[in-house]
Amino acid sequence: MYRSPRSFAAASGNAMLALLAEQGFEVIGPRRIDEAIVYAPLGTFDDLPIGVTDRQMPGRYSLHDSDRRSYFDAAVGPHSVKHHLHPSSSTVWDITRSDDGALSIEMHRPEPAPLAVIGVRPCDLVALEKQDRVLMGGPHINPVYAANRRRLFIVAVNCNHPSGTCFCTAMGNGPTAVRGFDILLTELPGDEGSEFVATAGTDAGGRLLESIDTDAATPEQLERAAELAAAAADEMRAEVDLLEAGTHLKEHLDSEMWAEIGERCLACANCTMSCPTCFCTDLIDTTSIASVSSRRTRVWDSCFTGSFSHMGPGPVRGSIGSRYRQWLVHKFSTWHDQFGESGCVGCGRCITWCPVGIDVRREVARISRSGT
Amino acid sequence: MNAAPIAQPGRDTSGTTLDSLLVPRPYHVIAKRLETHDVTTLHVVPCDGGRPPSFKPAQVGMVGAFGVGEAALSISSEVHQLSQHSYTIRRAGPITNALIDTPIGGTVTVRGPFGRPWPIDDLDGGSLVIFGGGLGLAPLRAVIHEALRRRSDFTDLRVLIGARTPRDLIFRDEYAAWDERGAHVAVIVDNRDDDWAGPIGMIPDLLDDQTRAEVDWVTAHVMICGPDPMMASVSKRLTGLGVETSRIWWTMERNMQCGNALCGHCQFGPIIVCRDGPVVNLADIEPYVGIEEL
Ligand SMILES: Cc1cc2nc3c(=O)[nH]c(=O)nc-3n(C[C@H](O)[C@H](O)[C@H](O)COP(=O)(O)OP(=O)(O)OC[C@H]3O[C@@H](n4cnc5c(N)ncnc54)[C@H](O)[C@@H]3O)c2cc1C
Ligand code: SF4
Ligand code: SF4
Ligand code: FES
Repeated sequence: MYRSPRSFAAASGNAMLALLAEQGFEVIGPRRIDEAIVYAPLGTFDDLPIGVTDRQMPGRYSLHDSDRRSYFDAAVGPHSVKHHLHPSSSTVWDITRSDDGALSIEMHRPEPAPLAVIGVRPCDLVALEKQDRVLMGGPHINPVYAANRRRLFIVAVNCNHPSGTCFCTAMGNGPTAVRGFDILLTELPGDEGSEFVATAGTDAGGRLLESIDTDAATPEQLERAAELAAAAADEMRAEVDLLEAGTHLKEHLDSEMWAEIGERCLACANCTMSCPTCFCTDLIDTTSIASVSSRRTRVWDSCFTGSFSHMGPGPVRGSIGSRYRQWLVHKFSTWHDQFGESGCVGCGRCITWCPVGIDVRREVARISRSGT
Repeated sequence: MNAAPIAQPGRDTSGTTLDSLLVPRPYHVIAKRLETHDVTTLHVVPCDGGRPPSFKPAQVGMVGAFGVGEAALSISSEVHQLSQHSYTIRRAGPITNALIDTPIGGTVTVRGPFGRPWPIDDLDGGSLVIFGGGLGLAPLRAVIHEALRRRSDFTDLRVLIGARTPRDLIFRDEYAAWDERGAHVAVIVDNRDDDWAGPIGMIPDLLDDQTRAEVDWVTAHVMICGPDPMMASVSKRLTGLGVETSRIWWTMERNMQCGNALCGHCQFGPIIVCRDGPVVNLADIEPYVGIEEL
């Protein structure tokens, strides 16, 4: 098995996808659909958004043609791997009631087909680890997530072009991946088309690389990959260490800034839906018309909804400011208490997809520095 | 590449999908007891003929009404009486109404038990003081019985009970027996009605001169269950008497959906109530007490 980096051109990438499909994997990767980059079925590298780059700012997202024909020049879109491991809706159980009132319970046993995701970004790899800790590392395990996780094959790609909302470096991650992949690619753009430097992270990844046409990566190629990584990190120069600053948010629960943000926030929940680590779910029971069967469904929920904190007299978090506080403090601060690490990876989705452009980088920095 | 299972990045979870605490178990309602105008105790046994699982005081079951949903409910029976479980339920909405209205012989489902119990196994003697406000006595009933069973472990046992009106007192016919078995039981109500001859006021008023003088507060362990403001005001009085917050325990209540630390609903600041509670040590949550809308 290959231990040292290999290199290949797009044709070998196609062979890799074909082999995965042959092995029974559903293969998905980033594609340009409805003017956003989302994960969708991928046949060959030609399906990737070639020559497309993105512009992301608080509340803004657009795609543009770039001056070079790279495959992976657009950063993360609204979807993350979460959509495929922790789906927005999944069945928990079915209960049927017989004529004599007896209940029989059938737990849903997920048996998903193997899934290969191409082009997973370093931030999303870290997000996966965080969801692992929440959904399979505690006293109980979410069976749907665990089953999906077991059948996952990951071809990750380092970022050459962070978007305007990326801040992984301020959270101590990225823009290159260190673990959590089967294969890791760095794209080296060139006039004759891109080349890829590939490293195996698992035996399965190594076997796959052995099965396609590759060469040993040259010192020049490795040097170029390192330069690209350094340039990408430079693009995200962070003034504030948000990983550290975030831990202090829970000391500022009384700040008047929460109410002030509450005036801008619409409580639309976009940030929690697009967040690759937000895991919260609601459990909903529905019955058949004749009331003989009842199904429990697990659906994504968000701490921005009023029902999320409902108790007898009404929601505990009635004001939008208090819901924003729950989101930000949980993500950056109390997640450490609950799971031993930050809940944020710095992917920037919550900034891009916030319709009013609230920027967590700015809010974390100013609230953690405030005087309360 | 061969056909061996390909990716194994996370923890190996094979076989874990059968986690029995995630699977609801049908129970028959074998008896019902009206406690107050809106509180009823259901006595239940597993439909499969087996025994209900053992549990610790203050642990909860996720009790389900077919097609309506599940509510977190404290097991109010005694830990050593395992022929059945009891749940003492207040009508609060669709689920609790459906559960209370389940006929005798009808079926409910239960998952659990879940949660951190009152720390009765870890106490180093001294006095034990228990405060229950309103329905808050339900999660305390098992620990009161346990303390009575081990009465000689404690120098003093106090049970201080409060409710809005005498009509809202639950387990009222048991107080005399608790007192006889060695607990000092005191009861107070906010508003009287005709047959009430006892004191009127709020629970902290039960800490009158005599009680304050009699209890050895330095060795005291205190367990409190009731609405958040009641637990806060009682705790404030106690710390004034010299009780360290690390010797005071509360039960927290937040919206609960899963009971399994998976749905995120029951967070209270750093705490996931179904995993780290419902019983929490006051020293651990002190910075968060009294913060609005947390
Ligand atoms: C640790 C714990 C122990 C509890 N012990 C008891 C008990 O012994 N007896 C008792 O009567 N009640 C107890 N409760 C409260 C009980 O869970 C709620 O009254 C019940 O869920 C309300 O459901 P509902 O559909 O009747 O009312 P609704 O208000 O319509 O509830 C709708 C949903 O909101 C959630 N919810 C509403 N109120 C609460 C609440 N107070 N706590 C948690 N979730 C809530 C439930 O998930 C429910 O599905 C306890 C709650 C917790 C957290
Ligand atoms: S931020 Fe909100 S939705 Fe996201 S995990 Fe935390 S509580 Fe759940
Ligand atoms: S912060 Fe923005 S994205 Fe999040 S709920 Fe508020 S308005 Fe929506
Ligand atoms: S009730 Fe779901 S996490 Fe606690």
